[in-house]
Amino acid sequence: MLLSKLVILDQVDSTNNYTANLIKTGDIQHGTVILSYNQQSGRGQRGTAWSSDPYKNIAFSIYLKHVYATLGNYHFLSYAIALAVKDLLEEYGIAPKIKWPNDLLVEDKKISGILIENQLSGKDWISSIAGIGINVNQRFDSETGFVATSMTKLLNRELDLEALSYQLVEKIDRRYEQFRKGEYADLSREYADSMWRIGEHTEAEIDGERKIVRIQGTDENGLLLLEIGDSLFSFDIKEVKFFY
Amino acid sequence: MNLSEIQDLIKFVAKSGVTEVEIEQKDFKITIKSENKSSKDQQPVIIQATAPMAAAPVAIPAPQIAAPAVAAEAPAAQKPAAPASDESKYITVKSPMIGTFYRSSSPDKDPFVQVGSSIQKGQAVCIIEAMKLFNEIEAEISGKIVKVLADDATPVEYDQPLFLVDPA
Repeated sequence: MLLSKLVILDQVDSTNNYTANLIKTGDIQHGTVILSYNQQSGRGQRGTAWSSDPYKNIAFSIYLKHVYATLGNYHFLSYAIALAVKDLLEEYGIAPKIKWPNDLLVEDKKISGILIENQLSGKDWISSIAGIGINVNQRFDSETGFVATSMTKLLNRELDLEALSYQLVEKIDRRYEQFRKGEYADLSREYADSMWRIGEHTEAEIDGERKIVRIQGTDENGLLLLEIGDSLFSFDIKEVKFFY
Repeated sequence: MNLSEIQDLIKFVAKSGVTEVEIEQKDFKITIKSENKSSKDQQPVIIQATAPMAAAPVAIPAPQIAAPAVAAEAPAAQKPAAPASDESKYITVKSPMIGTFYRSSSPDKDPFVQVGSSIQKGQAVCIIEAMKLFNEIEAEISGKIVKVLADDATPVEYDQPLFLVDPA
């Protein structure tokens, strides 16, 4: 099994930061998991915060040391982690969509966020920290409830954070194995099938201009593939904004 | 953590085959180690349960080599003395991918390195972000940063020069 060591912290600023510090001290091995139900300042996309009430949600980071992994394939790890979280939620009867690259939404509301940090030496991909935040027993005021949701809100019951965390490890284990074995075609297909608004016409802002686009999937490098008019274009995260 | 929670945890450890579990709480730390990984039936043994324990450590930023404004100017001051051809001994750190170049780990943090900073092999020098994947680029060589060749938070191309390093 992937899990080699589990560290459960009563309180932490960010499980990804904690993991990064373990890398610096060398006190870490492949499959080390840092887990907290009380993350104080989780991070989302650069500069954005991911906040939650104490002891309501899961903040989870796993350290993956790569062997023979090629940098050109690094988006497949992102697919694998997103699919693992989707697998977990599906086991509870929740059917999330993956908003490219790796946010999980239910009815257009965010239930989980993923932040992957890679360590590179030159062009060699050494290792990754895959950080996952899941809204579990979080309740929302009307304002946040507009953009976020939680398992408890969808299922109308409280969930056991420990049991969920252990199940998450199992789901990651399975998906990481797919990644490690190079089953990229399977990962890509399943990822595309799970994508938010795949095949749909939707409004997006590109270069400050609102356009109707169709989400076609991802290109071979993992970039978002959009159909605009009769042509296909690849986009990175900062180049396109969706409305939902 | 109460006894039944500990028992649940031990069951999980036994089932998962994990070799070590560490739990840190404000006044409490527990480490559970499985003695024999090959035998999954075997109950793990609690080898340590100490109290009190210091609160979970807070993140410590990467050790920064102090680079005050004066230090940053020092190499420039030396430059006129060194012939232009001397730049050939410098090594260029290039971007391994297309993405956005960041000099610090987050907007409120100091840059990883400045002009004049001494760097060690394996030390993080910048981040390139692509597809919400944050790629921390470690130095392949030890030395001193002579020049920063890309602007913070701007797009960089594959193989685009990022830093000029005077190898140690």
